Amino acid sequence: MGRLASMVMIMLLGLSHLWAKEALKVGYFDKKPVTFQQENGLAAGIFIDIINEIAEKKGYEIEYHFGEFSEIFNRLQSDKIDLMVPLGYTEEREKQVVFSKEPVITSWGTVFTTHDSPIDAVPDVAFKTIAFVKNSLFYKEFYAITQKFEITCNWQEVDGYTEMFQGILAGLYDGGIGDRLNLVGQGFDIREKIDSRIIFYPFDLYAAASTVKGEKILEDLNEYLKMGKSTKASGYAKILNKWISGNVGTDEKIIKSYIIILLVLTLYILLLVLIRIPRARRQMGLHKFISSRQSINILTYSFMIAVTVWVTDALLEYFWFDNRYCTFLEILIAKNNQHVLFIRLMYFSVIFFGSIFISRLLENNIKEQKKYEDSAENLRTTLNSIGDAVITTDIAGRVVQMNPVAEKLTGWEFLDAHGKYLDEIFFILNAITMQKVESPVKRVLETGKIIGLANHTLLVSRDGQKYQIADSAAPIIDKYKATIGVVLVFRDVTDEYALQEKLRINEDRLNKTFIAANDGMWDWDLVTDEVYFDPRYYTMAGYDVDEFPHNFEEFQKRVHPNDINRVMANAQGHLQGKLERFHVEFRFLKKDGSWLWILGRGVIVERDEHGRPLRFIGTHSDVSVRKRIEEKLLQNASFNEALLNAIPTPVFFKDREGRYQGCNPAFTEIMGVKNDDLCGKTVFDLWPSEHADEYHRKDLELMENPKHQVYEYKIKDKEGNIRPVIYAKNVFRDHQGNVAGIVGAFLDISEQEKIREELRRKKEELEKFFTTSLDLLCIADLNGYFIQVNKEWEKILGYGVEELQERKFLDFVHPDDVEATLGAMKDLGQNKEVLSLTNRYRTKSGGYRYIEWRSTPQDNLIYAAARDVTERIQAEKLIREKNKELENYLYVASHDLRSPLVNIQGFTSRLNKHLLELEKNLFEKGDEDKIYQHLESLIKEQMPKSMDFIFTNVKKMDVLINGLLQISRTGRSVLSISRIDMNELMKSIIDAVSYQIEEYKIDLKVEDLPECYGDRNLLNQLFTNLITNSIKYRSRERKALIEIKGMAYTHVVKYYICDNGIGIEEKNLEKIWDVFFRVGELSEESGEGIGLSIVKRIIDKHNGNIEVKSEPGKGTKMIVTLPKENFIKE
Amino acid sequence: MNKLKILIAEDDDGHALLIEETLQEAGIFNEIFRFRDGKELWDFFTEKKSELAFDSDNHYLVLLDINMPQMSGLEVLQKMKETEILKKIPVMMLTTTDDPREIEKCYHLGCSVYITKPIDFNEFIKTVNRLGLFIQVVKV
Repeated sequence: MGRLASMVMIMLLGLSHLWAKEALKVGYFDKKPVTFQQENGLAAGIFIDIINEIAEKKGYEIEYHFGEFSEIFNRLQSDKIDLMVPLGYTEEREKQVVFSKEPVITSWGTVFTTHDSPIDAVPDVAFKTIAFVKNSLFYKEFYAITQKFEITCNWQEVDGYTEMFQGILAGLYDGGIGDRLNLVGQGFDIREKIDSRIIFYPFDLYAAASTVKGEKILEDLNEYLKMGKSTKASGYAKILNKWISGNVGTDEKIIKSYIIILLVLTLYILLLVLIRIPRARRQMGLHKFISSRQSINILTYSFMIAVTVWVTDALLEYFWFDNRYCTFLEILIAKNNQHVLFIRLMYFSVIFFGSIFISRLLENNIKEQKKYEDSAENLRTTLNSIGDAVITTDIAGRVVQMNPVAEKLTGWEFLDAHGKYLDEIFFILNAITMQKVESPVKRVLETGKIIGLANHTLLVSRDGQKYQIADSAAPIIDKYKATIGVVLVFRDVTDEYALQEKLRINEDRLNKTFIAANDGMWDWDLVTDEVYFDPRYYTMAGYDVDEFPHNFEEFQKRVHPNDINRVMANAQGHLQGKLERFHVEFRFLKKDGSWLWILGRGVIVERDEHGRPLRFIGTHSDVSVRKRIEEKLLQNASFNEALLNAIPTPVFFKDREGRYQGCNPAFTEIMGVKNDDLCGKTVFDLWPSEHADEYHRKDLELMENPKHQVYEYKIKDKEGNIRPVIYAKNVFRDHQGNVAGIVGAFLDISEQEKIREELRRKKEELEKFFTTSLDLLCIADLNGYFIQVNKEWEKILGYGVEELQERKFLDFVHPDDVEATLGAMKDLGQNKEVLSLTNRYRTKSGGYRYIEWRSTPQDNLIYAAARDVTERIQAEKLIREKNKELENYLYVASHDLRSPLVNIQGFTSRLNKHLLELEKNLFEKGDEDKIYQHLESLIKEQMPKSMDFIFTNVKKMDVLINGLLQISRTGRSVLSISRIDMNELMKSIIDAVSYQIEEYKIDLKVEDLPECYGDRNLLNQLFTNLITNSIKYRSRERKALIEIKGMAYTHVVKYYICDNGIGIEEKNLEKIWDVFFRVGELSEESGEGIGLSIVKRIIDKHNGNIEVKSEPGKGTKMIVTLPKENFIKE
Repeated sequence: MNKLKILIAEDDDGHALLIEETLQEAGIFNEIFRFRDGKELWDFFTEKKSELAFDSDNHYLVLLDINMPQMSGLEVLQKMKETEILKKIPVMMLTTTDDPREIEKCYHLGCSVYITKPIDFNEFIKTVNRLGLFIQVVKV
């Protein structure tokens, strides 16, 4: 729709050109934001705004031509257009076209970065990832710059500037190359976050003309730019501000747009309200209204939405046609402008809420319609299926509806009756007076109230038949409480009437008979063969009262065929006087088809003068419950027998005297004794042995103390094998509750016994394996408790097996390993195997051992095999340390040895250069004095200086290499261990440095020192190094003090060498053991940095330890730990 | 605008001399100050040495050796990058070590360029020449 409006607009503009004077043709190409073509085909951009402003002031007619750069430039050259914007200046181009004097805009190459980027200058881009757009002129320029500096960057090609900026913001690129205007073309949120740190390659953009007309406007342009650039309030500044800073801000057009949208919105809502009001006023027939208006409504609303969208769109387009976002489509796709976002939101709200409103409206209409139809249908069905007759009339009393029952009773077809007055078809009389009665409808219409059932009313149908009826009538009231008709309901009560009469006759009979409340009564008139059955008689068997007729045949029909002869015989017996009473049990057919057990009793109550029976009355009692119990009892007995025969377990029973009363086939199967052979015999008769005594004893025990008795014993089977069995016995009692005998069963458990034996053997084997394994084996639960551990644990950890079992293994794990162990347990808990876990376990002596685990979970238990890998781990640690040391040496070789080499190389080359100069000067003629002076400086100053450097550095290398050799020797030397008298050794060491001690006036205190074991030569070197260090690094500010102390412990001896020297800074405490490390300034006395390296190596060789404590400016304390006992180094 | 000053911290006299002379031969006639170790340079920055006062208006370029007694080049670099007025001064590491971990550490701390001192003198001259180019860039 927006497109349509804009096209109309363009056509109108196009028409206006027809009668305008010949326009100035301006060519432009796509260079956003300088010049570009909008979606609606109109020119826009900085240049366009400027040209438009000039044209407005000076009265030019402008005609814009858009095309590719080269195409437009060609047109300019061939005078097909008057002016081209923009065009970069070159000397070559100036020969062909005229450039504006002032550049319209200056741009330059930029390295785009984020605000927090470390890139500040060209060298900063080294090793950074920099994005560029293919064929970009600026990339080529910047690449040349980096080449000049020998900088390497990671160049990344991207497809466009938007991608570049997003990449920079996402952190994919450290920077990007482009023209500063590239950023201007981006949305506000990107512009805000991007910085341009490095700028390069500035260039100007001009306008160019080729025709006289073009040149004229160029002059205006020059003037405009000159003026514009001088003041900030100019149109030029405003245009730049609009396009470059993007402050479109409070443009009045936007405000206008808001007003328009609001206006349209209000109008729209007003329309909706207007349409709703008349609808609401309608009181009746809502559904009809809607169904008739429905299609119109849809059309109306759709049309209104369409018009709203179109009008808003068109208005926006009209007011915004020269802005960047001008059509609905553009608003939808345009990004990053808050206003546009807002407008877009409003648009969507209108359409969205409008659609919701309409859909809800339609939904309601359809719902109501459906509801109405449903209820009408329901009503019809109800009326047709109802047992009562129903007639409805309108307010005038004319028939509107009647159902089939009403048709039947009145004898009127609905089609005939429809529209007739009710009196005509509903003719009623008083049953007693036989006077015509007024129909209740009339009264209902008069009073508006419900009229209840009237008694004794006779309805005379169309064909003259009379029905006893009960009727009622009620008004039909609409929702506005107005009576709009009457509904009349009536029912044929003729049968009920007759029934009531009959009941009255029978009543006296009932009263005469004494019968149980629940018994059914019958009264047989032997003369008429009519039988009266009382209501209870019927209901007892589930029939409705009087459901079957009152005669003997009906009774006979319902007696079970198997019982009928018995019943009849019994009845005959009584009738013939052979039986005093009629008394028989039989089955009687219930209504549901099942049989009811009945006790029929009866007696002849009347006889004629000849003694012939006339009347026979009696009762029916329901005895089904008793019958059921009897049946059940019978069933149980046979069930028990079947059960006994069916179960595979041997069962027997005995009387109180221990005589067998019976057994089941399973018993016979095993024992080989048949039931008949068994009965009456005792255990002593059947299996005389020690078994019998035990059987008897147990039986007596059970009878004395009757309870469920279970025990294991043996039997001798029919083949004479002894089998282990489990007996289960109990007593049975007579009806008085006395013990009548014993019932027992037994289970052959010889198979189970075999399996149990096997299991025990397996367990023993496993146990043996468990205890003899060299690995650490254990079973633990998932809560972390040991359940079983083997002996090996005792050896490794020192705890007894009992001490470990039932304890939490986490209690033994080293605190640092607890987390890893818990992690492994979690895996085990999730049924995962743990194949490599190493943790430290505390031994009884307080040390730790490294244990490597392989664990498998099974049924909430952990099965684990472990190994003590302490030795291996220690060896690995040692190797790692050695490797580190080695690495350190290599590092030293690369740095410290390299340093003198650089000098030797450098000064040798200089020497070479001096020699060349010497040679050149010697054979050159010229100012003798000057040459002589130069030669003198070379020979006496420069060359000796270089030589000096070379010698010094060669010496330095020698010292370094010697140091390395010395360390290497210390490491390789074979120890010769002996007991060391430290007092004696210390004395000789101090003697050797006594000269220095005296010279520096050092206060030396040596206490009595304990003995130790070690290599005398190496220990001499160790303590010499430490003491000379204390001398070397003494403080010049105070009197030097050195204290040497010693202390013997259980296994080790500790020596303390303390001084009050310059101390060691904390950051250097680790480094002092490194080779060639020196603390402090270089001085005559400072060593080569190998003394402490050697000390460390000696200590390591003695399995000792050295610890350093130091405070800068206060002093250093060296603590040397050495073995107290002899040791053999492997 | 003040002329760029070059500050060299180098404990080896020979190296220092070679660098200075080669720079001059490469046409860099900027004032060069030599410090015998990192601490001396740091004292200069913190104005503990009065005769050579550090002036934050001046432009400086720092050449740092790594292994120096008292205060290593890495320490100086780290401290400079932590100090607001020294942060922007370009720092070039010039050292005999070519251990990649060391190089990474320097770049991580924020040095502008890391140059390994080559044993070959011609290489050394080339390196110092390139250094000169950078110094010219910094001057711009």
